[in-house]
Amino acid sequence: MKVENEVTIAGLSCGQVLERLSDYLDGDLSPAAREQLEAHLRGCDRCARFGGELRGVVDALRSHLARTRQLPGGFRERLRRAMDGERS
Amino acid sequence: MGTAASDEELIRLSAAGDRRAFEALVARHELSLFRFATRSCGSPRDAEDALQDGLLAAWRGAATFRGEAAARTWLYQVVIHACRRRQRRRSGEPERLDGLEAAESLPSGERGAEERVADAQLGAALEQALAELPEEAREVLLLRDVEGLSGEEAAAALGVGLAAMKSRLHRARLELKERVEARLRPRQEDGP
Repeated sequence: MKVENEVTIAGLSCGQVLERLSDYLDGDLSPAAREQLEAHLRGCDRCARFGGELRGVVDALRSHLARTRQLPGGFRERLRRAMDGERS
Repeated sequence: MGTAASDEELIRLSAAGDRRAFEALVARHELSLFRFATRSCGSPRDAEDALQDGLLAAWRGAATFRGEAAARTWLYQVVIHACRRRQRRRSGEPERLDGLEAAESLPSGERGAEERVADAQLGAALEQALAELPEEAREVLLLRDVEGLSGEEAAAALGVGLAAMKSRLHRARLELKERVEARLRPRQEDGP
C-alpha cells in the first residue's frame, strides 16, 4: 500500500507496516517480523497512532457487538413446527 | 441428550433423525448465529427468517456433513447462505439497522454519564458503519472480530482460502475504521 510522505524505519516503509497491521493484531506474524514491525512503530508516531486506532476499532467490534442478544420470542417453537414438516 | 456430546456427534445423531440432538446443537450456537444473521441481513426480522431457513437446511442436510470443517463452521455456512438468499430477494430495499442498536449498546455499570454516551455513540457508529459495508466485508468482520471464529474457521465458513480471508479482513477493517471515524468526527458546522 502506498502512503504519502512515508518513511522507512527498521527496514519497513509505512506502507509495508500498513499492509501487515491486521496480521500483527491477530498475532500472525513471525517473532522476527513482529519485532521488525514494532521497531518501526516505536520510531513512527503516525503508524503507531494509526495502528492503535485500528486496534481500538477491532476491540470495539467485539466488546460492543458480541453482547448477547435474546432470540426472538417463540423462535424455538417456530423452528420445531417447521422441522415437523421437514422430516416427519 | 448429554451435554458432553461434541457438535460433530450431535450432527451425526441429527442425520439419523434425532431431533433432541439437533435441538441441543442449535441451543449451543443459536445466539451467536442470530447475532451474525441480524447484522448480516440488516434487520432482526430477516435474521430470524434466515436463521430458521438455515437451521432447517442444516436439519435436512445433516447427513451431508462430512466433517471436513468444524460443525460450528458448517452451521455458519448454512446461515451465511440463507442470509445471502434473503438479501438477494430483498435487494433494493433499505438494509439499515434501526436506532434500537444504540440503546442496546449502552453498557451497564457505574461509569459516568459522558462515558456512557461516548460508548453508546461508538456502538451506534460501529453498527451503522458495519451495515453500510459490502456484504463480503461485513461477513468477514462479523465472523472474525465479533463472533471470534479462528482464521481457519472463518475462511472455511466463507468458502475461501486463508490468505484470501486475511486480505478481505484487513481491507474490511481499514474501511470500517474510516467509516466509524467519519461518523464520530465532529462536523464542521457543529464547531464553535
